[in-house]
Amino acid sequence: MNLLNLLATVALADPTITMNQDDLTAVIGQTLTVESVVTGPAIAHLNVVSLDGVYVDLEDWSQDVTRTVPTEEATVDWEFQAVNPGRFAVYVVLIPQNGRLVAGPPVHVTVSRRETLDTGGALPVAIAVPALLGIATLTGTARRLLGLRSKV
Amino acid sequence: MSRWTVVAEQESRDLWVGGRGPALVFGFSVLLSAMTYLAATNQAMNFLEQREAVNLIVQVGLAVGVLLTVVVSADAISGERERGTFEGLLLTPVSRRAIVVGKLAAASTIWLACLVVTLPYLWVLGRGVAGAVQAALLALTVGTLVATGLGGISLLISAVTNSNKTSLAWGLLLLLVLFAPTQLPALPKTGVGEVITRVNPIGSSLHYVSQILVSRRDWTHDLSYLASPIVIAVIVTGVLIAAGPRLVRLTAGPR
Repeated sequence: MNLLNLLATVALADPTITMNQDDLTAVIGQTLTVESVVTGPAIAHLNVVSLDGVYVDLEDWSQDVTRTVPTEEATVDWEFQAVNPGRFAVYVVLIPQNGRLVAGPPVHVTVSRRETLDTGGALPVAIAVPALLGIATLTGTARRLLGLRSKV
Repeated sequence: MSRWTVVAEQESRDLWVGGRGPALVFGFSVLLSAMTYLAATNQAMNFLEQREAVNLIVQVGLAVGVLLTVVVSADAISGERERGTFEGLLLTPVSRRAIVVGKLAAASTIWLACLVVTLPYLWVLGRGVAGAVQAALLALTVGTLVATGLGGISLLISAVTNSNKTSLAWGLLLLLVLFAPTQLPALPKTGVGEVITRVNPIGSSLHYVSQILVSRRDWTHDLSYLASPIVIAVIVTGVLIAAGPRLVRLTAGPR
């Protein structure tokens, strides 16, 4: 009887999820990857929830949030982009063929704000390069026209 | 100096001293300036990470640089036919193979000029993340492959048409067909989509560049994505060299 119980426990064991990280820090816009080890057969789904009450649009964070997990233990990489500032929990849910949902441990992601890129450096380059090329183009055109006129 | 370099030098002089090249590169720099300033300052684009901003400039630079190469190549033979200047070139003591190779080399100079213009923008956006030098090297290698391949195809089209409008229209249509799939964001993640991306020289090049610049993969990790641009550049250059004598004729079409 004990042996049957043991076999039943092994055969009907709940799918499990382990994550390779507990905490992550990122700057807004950064692309992050977390690795999960999951047992199937099941469908694995990535989810992101804000711990500050900020609205999270999952599509903005990742385009690839649902994976089919084969029977064996499998390593699944999840790539996502931190598009909101604040504190978030990223976790994986397994939807098995039979039985209840299994949620994995959350990975806490702290996303810091970033000011815009270096405005001071961008503006001079954005003005100087076309200005120099414009002057060179006009000078060349003027020389060509003057050359043609002198030939006439 | 070998014959093809004489043709390349003369064609390059026509392009750059004639004023067409500088005007095109000036327009290219205005576009890059607008993109760089928006990427660096716009609050709505604030989520754009620094490496993504560098990647954006490389992709725009590569796309528009290749477009200009295709436009210049499309004019190379059919344009001369239309302007009635091709007869004079055919009478010079230069082989037809040298003419076609020289014209491709001259058209490639517009890509190199676009690359040089892109460098300050990469520097200003990539400072501090060691992304600028890597991005410049990627643009040089990958962009040169794509520009040679597609510029060569455009030159082939120019050789088999008598009208400049026709060769330009075919060249632009080719670019449009190759660029359109790159705008589908999830394409490389599906089985068929990955095949389309790998076959498409532009799609595979842009994917390779973004994998290195944004996802920080090693340069050998997705090297197989460069198979398509390399194969196309080699085949097209080979076809131009082998079929040059038959392609460079006063009029296109059957003899």
